[in-house]
Formats: sequence, structure tokens, C-alpha cells
Amino acid sequence: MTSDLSTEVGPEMILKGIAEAARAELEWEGVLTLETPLVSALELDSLRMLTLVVAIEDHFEVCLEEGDEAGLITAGDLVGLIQKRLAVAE
Amino acid sequence: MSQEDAEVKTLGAALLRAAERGPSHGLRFLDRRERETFVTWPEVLKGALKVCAGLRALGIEPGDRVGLVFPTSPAFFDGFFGACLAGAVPVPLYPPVRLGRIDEYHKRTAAMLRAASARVVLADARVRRVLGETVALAALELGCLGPESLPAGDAPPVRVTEDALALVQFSSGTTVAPKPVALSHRAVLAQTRLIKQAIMDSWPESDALQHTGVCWLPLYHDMGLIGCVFPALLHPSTLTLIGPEVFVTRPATWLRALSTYGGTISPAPNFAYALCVDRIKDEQMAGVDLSSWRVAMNGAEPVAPATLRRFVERFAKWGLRPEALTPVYGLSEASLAVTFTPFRRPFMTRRFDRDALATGVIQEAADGAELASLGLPLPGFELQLRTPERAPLPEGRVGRLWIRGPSLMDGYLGRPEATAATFDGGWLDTGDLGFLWEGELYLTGRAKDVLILRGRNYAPHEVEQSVDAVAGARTGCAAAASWVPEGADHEALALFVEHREDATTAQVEALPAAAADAVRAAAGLSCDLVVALPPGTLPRTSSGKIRRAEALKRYLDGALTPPKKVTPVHIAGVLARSGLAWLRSR
Repeated sequence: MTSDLSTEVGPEMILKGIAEAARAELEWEGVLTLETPLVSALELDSLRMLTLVVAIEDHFEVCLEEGDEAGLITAGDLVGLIQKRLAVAE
Repeated sequence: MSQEDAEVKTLGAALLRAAERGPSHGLRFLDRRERETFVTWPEVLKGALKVCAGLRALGIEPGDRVGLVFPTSPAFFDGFFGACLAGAVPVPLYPPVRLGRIDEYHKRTAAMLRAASARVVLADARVRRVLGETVALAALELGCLGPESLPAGDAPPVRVTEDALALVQFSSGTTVAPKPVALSHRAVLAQTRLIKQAIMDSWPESDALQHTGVCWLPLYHDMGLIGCVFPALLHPSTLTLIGPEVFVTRPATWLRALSTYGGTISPAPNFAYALCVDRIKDEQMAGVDLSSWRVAMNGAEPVAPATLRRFVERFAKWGLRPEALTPVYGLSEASLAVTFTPFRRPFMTRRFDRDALATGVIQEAADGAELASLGLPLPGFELQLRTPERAPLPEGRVGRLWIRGPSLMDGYLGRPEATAATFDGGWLDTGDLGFLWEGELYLTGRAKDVLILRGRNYAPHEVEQSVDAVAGARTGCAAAASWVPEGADHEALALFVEHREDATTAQVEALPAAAADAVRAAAGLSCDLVVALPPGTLPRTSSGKIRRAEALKRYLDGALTPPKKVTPVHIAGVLARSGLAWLRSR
């Protein structure tokens, strides 16, 4: 997926992308909704968190930054953050 | 040892000499797409001289501590060697992790900066944006600057003696009384020479063999900085550097770099070898040849025989030499390494009778517990096993490991009482438990309260305090401990939590899972075992301190039972991760 598609990328598409990244890189099997609590559902210890971050950066071609975590609890929060980064990448 | 190496007395002098040798060697940085940036030793010197002048213009005096917060990048070395050349003392600290818990990060980093009494922090632009709160918490006199934003100046390097401090490193990150390990130039260079000498003795250089290292270890970790960078600097040779996050997310990058650049030396903690076996796919290894890799040290956390075998079996077909796998032992307080298993010899394991081991006596037994030999002390090092009362024990008895040698720390900076408690004459208490068998070191556990997970040390308190806010948990009544279950290939993290007297049944049942979530969120660690216990069950000292190692021992022995007066449920709830065969079997 490249940034020129980002204008059309809705929350569902991003959620789907996160789930794909989690399945491919974390061997996670589950259903991701906007309400899913990330750390507990995806069992994100620091190693798995980093793996997910890099997978997401590659998938969406965005950069997540140090300090981006503020208020990040649910998958929906992460979707919001990715949307914000995609908008910056425009 | 070469006469020339012996004449190098400080890290600054080592850099000047490496630069004089010309631009044929240096540091190669690989990014996540495996693109390289090469910085020659003369260029490293040039960057360092600029930072040195800037630090001196800023008012940094010899002996002042300079915090460094950088990812693996050329800028780290500008800052590190710039501080060295200014006669100051670099304090490398880890950068924040993306989407990690930044509030915990601020607290820990500020605590370390305060403990080291740093006057200034150098950081790269990305890190600086989020470091404000850390700097405020640490009340740094000169704040946080980028190497490029230092004042201009032309002050030359400052000459210091070999007894001056070379660097301060932390054995574990913690908000509570972190212990800054203070290392002199004499100590770190003695350690560097020992590593270099061991390699050159076993694998002399020739036209056909030029040593070159590959390192993905963090530069704020002794195994990366002292174990990889300093030998490359002293030799001098070229070191290929990969960011730790590149390795943990794409472990094949490490093995491909060894192949591409003909790496001969590359150390890593045990977990890294397991991660390679578990995560690298055959197609990522296309064209890879690992036969140049002479020494793959395995240290910084307990060495698991199962991991060594799995790694050798998995990568033999890409030319891995089975004898490359080299279990080692060391600790920050000794600069780094204390023992090496002899190079060119395949790693060796022995089996020891479990019941005898439990009583501190060593007997080989065909069906006993398998332990990997950590080898022989490096030249100049002595090992001694002692009782808790510090009386020496004979070979074949389990005791507390004390060491003496040429690269021990000066002490914990600004912590005379902690320093005094660690030294006895020239001997240093490692806090590790083990024994000598046929002259070689084997470790069985730890007497000190420290968790070692993925090569990094954590204070148990970091894990324990994260469960205080969990509903039904008794505040301050948790114990975290880690150990290697037999047959497992990493240390397992166990957490024992007492529930409140007035906790509801539902709260008690939910406690293990809720505690595991809290630990993951706050400390970034996954618990392998969480046990909820009735109040008063954890063993305590006479002054009321929880005895963590004893709690774990009793649990493993099936003897962690609540005091008689409370007997509603014995073990109230257990959460065990499915990954460990040992835990499944319980």
C-alpha cells in the first residue's frame, strides 16, 4: 500500500492492515475491532510492540515516532494515529 | 599482548591511534533495508574533536558526566568519543521505544541521569523532542543538546590518566536507586585487550583471515560497546553495526551481515540465538555463508544448552561452524567478560544430579540436569566460590561466585555503601550462584534480586510495582523472580501476588490475568507464570522484606503455602503461558 492511496484509506482498511501485520509478524489469531485493547489482546510486551510498530510502518509506509504512545489504548487509537501520519505523508 | 596496545592508556588515545592508521577501517552502519553508511576511524575522530571542542566551550570539565541518548548511529560516536576526548565521562542510556510507555521511560532515564550526576545530555533530534520531561525530572544543569547544536570552539582534547573514569554504565534500568557502574580507562582497556588477545591467540590474522566484527547489540549495553566497539577500535579493524530494533524485528539481517562482510566475531545473549531459530525463514538465508564466523559468544543471560543445539542444527547448512558457539560469563561490574569457553572447542555441557545440586553438592549423573560450561577465567582473573558467610568452598560445591581481576569497576558512582557491600578486599561479589567442575565454571542461579530477560537486567521492583494498582492486589506484596526452567531456552518470569484480605472471589480469580496485563503495559515484559496467593503467604525477612528467590524456590518445590490461619484456598489462581514445556507439565 502506498501513500497515494491514503486519501481513500478509511478506518476499516487501516484496521484490516493492522490485523494483517499482527497475523503475519506476531502469529496472532483473533478478531480486531476498534475497541480491542491492544496491549492485552495482542500480548504486546516490548519486543512484540516493536515488531508490530515496524510491521505497521512497512505496511502503511509511515513513521511512528517516539512519544506517539500518548493515549494509545485501543486498536481504534492506533488507527487514528496511522490516519494522522498518513495525512502528514500527503 | 602487543607492546603498542599496552601503550594505549585511554579510549581517547586509542581513537587517535586508530585514526592515524588511516581510512581503511571504521564503523559500518546498516539500516533496516541493509543499506550501509561507512564512517572511517579518521572521520570518527573528526566528529569527536568537534563535539569535544563544543563540550569544552559549554564548560564541561574533565570528570564531568555526559549522558548520551542515541540510536545506533554515527552521532552516538561523535558524542561518546567527543566526551572521552574532553576528559569527560560518557553515560550511554537507552533511547525511548516507539509506542512504548514514555512516562516510565522518563522516570527511569531521569533516575539514571541523577544517579550519574550528569551535567548535560546529548541526544539526536528525534529523541530530543520527547526528552523534555526526562531532563526536567533529572534537573540537568546544562539541559539536553544535539551534538550539532553545541557552541563552536577550538579547544583541543584533554589528556587524562588511565585511572580516570572512562564511562559509567548501568547494570539494570530502575527508578529505585539505580547503580551506576564506574569503569576506569585502565579497566575497560584491560578488558578490551583480553578479548582481543583471546581472539588473536586462537585465530591469528593472515592474508586469508582479517578479523571483523558484526554487532546488533545496543551501544548502551556492555556487550555491544565494550565487547564489540572497543576491540575494533584498539585493533583497529572494521565493525558492522545494526540497530537492535532492526535485529529484533528482522533477525536475518544479522546473519546476512555476517555473510556479506565476512564477520569473524559476533556475540549475543542466548535469546538472540533462539529468536533466529524461531523467526528466520529459509528464503531469507538465500546465498548466506556463515563459515567466516569464528566466535559467536553467548552471554549476558543464562546459556541454555537446548538453544545452542537448536541454533547449530538450524544453521549448519549455511556453513555455521558448530564450534563457533561459545558460552561466556561476565557482568557490568567486571567491565564485561570474566570467563570464556576455549575457542575452537565445541561448547560443552554436563549433567548433574538434581537432588545433590539442591543441597549444594555436585555429582555427575547421566539423567541429571544439563548445564553448559561457561569455561575458564580470562588471564588475570580468579574465581572463588564462597558460602553466604564468605567462607571459601572447595571445587564441586555450589556457592556464591566472587571474582578478582584486572577489569573490575572502581565502584558504584556516588554509592559508597553499595560499593562496600560488593567488595571484600580486591574480590567482587557477583551475586551469582554456581560451582567449578574440572576447573570450568557452571552457574545454577542467582542470590541477587535481578531479573535477566532477553539479555537485559531488570530490577524486580519494576515488575512488582506495576501490579499495585490491579483490583484485589495487596499493595507492596508481590514478588518477581526469573529462572531457566529445565529444557527451556530462555529465562521464565514468575510473579507472585498476594490478594487483599477483602478481595472478592471474582477479583482473586481475575488477578493473575490482570496482573500479567499490568506488567506488560508498564514494564513491557510478558510473565510466564503468575500466581495469586492468600495474604501473608510470601516468605519475608525478619524486617518484613519479601524474599523473592525463596518464594520462587518454595513454589518450585511445591512448598509455597499460606500461613495456617488463612486457609480458604491454597493457591488462589495461576496463569501459565503455554509456551513452556516445563510449565505445561506442572
